[in-house]
Amino acid sequence: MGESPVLVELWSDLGCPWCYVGKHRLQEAIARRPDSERFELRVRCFELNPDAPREPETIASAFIRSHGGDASVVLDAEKRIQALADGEGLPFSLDRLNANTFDFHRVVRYADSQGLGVEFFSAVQDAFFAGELNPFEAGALVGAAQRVGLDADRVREVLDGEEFGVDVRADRAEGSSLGITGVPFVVFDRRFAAPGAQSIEVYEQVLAEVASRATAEAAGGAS
Amino acid sequence: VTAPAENAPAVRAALQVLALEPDGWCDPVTGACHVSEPANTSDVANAEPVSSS
Repeated sequence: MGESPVLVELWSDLGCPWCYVGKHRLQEAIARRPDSERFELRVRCFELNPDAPREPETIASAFIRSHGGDASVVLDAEKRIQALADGEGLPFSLDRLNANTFDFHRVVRYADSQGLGVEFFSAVQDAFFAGELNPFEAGALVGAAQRVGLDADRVREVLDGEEFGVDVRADRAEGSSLGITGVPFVVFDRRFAAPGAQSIEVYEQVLAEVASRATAEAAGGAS
Repeated sequence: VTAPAENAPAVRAALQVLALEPDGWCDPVTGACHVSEPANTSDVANAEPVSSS
């Protein structure tokens, strides 16, 4: 008999570097478990800046526009994250662009409806942070979607219209209602939530705790 | 009439947000991203919600 399933929901945004690092750590923590197949990872949308312009700009420009002052603060932080990511084998380009991610998230919601939400999100996120893909170009999103098995024409249709916008906003509203204090925000089986990017070891401990409780609950319910 | 959104407080009440110091995070309100200082290591064992019943 298989173990009871455990839902792991990851609220994140595309431009968020800690979401990139955190997602890889979370996936590694799940992969290390002998019962990894019982965990269902789902990406949930959380636009960090819904009012961000649609026209891409550099990270430095985005920082100055939204916070003012000197961009060296954000660039220093980027270099620290880059060093950390490099140590974990994750390509991390400092030349990424920044723009509104609403349309990207709409395709994520479409991909999720096809059972490919994690695959699409990961494909775009990985290529974006590696400096290999501009996710603010519709053609790039269509190509990434096609590579993970989504229908290219359907993705173009989504991008050309307004579909899944309600779902994107609902994801963000739900995340806020759950008390998001830091993004990424991982919710484990609706029992525990871990804010920000945690270490693989911390994620492992939370997975073990939640798996144990889910198993005990299932056994209690079956008796 | 009970709106679906009214379920959110109940879910939130059941959800335990662990008091864990992350390596870094982006602020859900301002959108700004932060790096924790190296000394701020996290240990789930020290996060009370996990060990409480």
